[in-house]
Amino acid sequence: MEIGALIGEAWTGIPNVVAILAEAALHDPAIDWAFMIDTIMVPPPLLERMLADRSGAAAVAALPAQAWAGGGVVARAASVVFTHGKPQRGRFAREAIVLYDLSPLLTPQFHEAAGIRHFADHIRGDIETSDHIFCISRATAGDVAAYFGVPPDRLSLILPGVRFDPADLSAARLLPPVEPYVAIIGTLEPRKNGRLMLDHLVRDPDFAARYRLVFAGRDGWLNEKARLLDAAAAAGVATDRILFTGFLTEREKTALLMHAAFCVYPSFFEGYGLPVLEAAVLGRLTVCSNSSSLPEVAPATSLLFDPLDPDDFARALAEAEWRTAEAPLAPALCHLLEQAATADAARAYPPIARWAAAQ
Amino acid sequence: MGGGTVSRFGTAPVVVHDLAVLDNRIVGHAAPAGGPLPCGLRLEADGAIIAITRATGFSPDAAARGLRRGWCGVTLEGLDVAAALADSMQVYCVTSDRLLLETAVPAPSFVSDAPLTVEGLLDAMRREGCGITPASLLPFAQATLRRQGLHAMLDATYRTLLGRAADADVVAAWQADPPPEAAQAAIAMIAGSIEFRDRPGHMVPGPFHPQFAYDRGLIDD
Repeated sequence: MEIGALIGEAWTGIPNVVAILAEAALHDPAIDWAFMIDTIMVPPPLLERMLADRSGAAAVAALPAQAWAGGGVVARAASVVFTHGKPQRGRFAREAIVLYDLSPLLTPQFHEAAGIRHFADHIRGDIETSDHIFCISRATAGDVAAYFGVPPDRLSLILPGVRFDPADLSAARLLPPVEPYVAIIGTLEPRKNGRLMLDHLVRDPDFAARYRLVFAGRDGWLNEKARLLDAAAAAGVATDRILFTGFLTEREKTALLMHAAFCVYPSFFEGYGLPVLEAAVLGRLTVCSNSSSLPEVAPATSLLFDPLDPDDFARALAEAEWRTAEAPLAPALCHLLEQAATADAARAYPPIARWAAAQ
Repeated sequence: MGGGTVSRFGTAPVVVHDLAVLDNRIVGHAAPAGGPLPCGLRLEADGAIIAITRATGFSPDAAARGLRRGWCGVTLEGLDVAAALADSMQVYCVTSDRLLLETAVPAPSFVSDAPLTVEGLLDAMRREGCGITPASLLPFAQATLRRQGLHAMLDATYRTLLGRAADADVVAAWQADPPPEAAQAAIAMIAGSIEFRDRPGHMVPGPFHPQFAYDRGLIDD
């Protein structure tokens, strides 16, 4: 299993999905998995350390020595699952790839030129040299079939899930009441469409008096944070009614989602949209864009709207406000634990294990 | 109810514990026989799980008893919830399901907390597993210096207290001319910096905190 996505220091999004797949594989007694980052083998103790730290920092320190020492080479006869792009192609007997979305090709206006070039240079070769393709949503599978002509028998769906620490759920559940706020979760980048939330304040200035707006996520690209601040100033919103949290740990994010009046996920395009599922498990409604994969994620707790239609967004926000006012108290801890178990992230692994085991 | 829904929790069985009700919460310590994992505890009333936590805080009592250098302290909240359900409550070891404490539920406190701000919520969640003073990090800094060298100790001090890598110019200067008592000097330098003072909460992450970057082996020595 190639796990290069785990090389970063702090994991969010795709690295979180890859970490769960790697963890499930590591503990699967039925398959003799080996792990590599690019072409360098990752010894199981190093992977365990990375999973415990939820960070690739240990790998950054250890892999150069591992490479110089020879590092072991995965046999050409192996079946290899590439969990995020293929640093090598056509080298192994069977190759599979996990595809998250085709966003750089389908919505290039939300990406930087270098990222689009890198994706465009690789995706076709990655798909052509893969015996099987695992897609994280029906929307992504549909795009791969439509744009690359991949037949259904080479495509499978793997359903991403969530992983909450029971101690985090417990600690968050027992906090005192928190001021009213809405949580907008995700990296600050134009594709996430956070600007829509601030534009709404021009038509409903009182919204920011009823709720603080909490943008939860690290700074992304294309100067989105500066754009959001400009939009807030243009809407006349007091700066203390808007909070940019920066990167949050899973523990902080759990509490933030759990105590939000409701969540807002206005993204133009998502391969899956894990924050919508996380909010659902925590008993929170999400005012959610109806684009790409998002209607698939948690339809029962999503108030869908067209991300290009401010009127439709205002309607969904109004519905969230009255449904939140009538909502029962926060779910009991037992209920939260059961919900988390139902949507556990390990559910993505079995289709991959079945493919790896089949010869 | 049991712990059926609490799998993969990453905890060790409780071997030594001392728990008591104090100020409408259960406090004390719980330590395993050894190893890197902390203990996990579960509070129940009338068969319902009220709270789950790990024993990752600092306990002066445990330190005085020579247990885990004190890093096995525990606080269980939720007694007001328990009071709504039953007259008695139980604390179990998450790993073994062993009953550790059964006691009467105190009367509800009826303290109406002022709402937290969002910043307060995040601060409360960050604090679990934190110590009280930067000096509590000294044994770990010394162990890291001894086992991994000056660069690793300096970098771990930056990462633990400031959440970022060490400044390259500081590392170079210290490697060229190491100060005496380098571990103590590193902690004093960072804890006295404007950057640390300006960080929300001035947290001092303990060995089970995600931001703790020193060698954790000392906890099990």
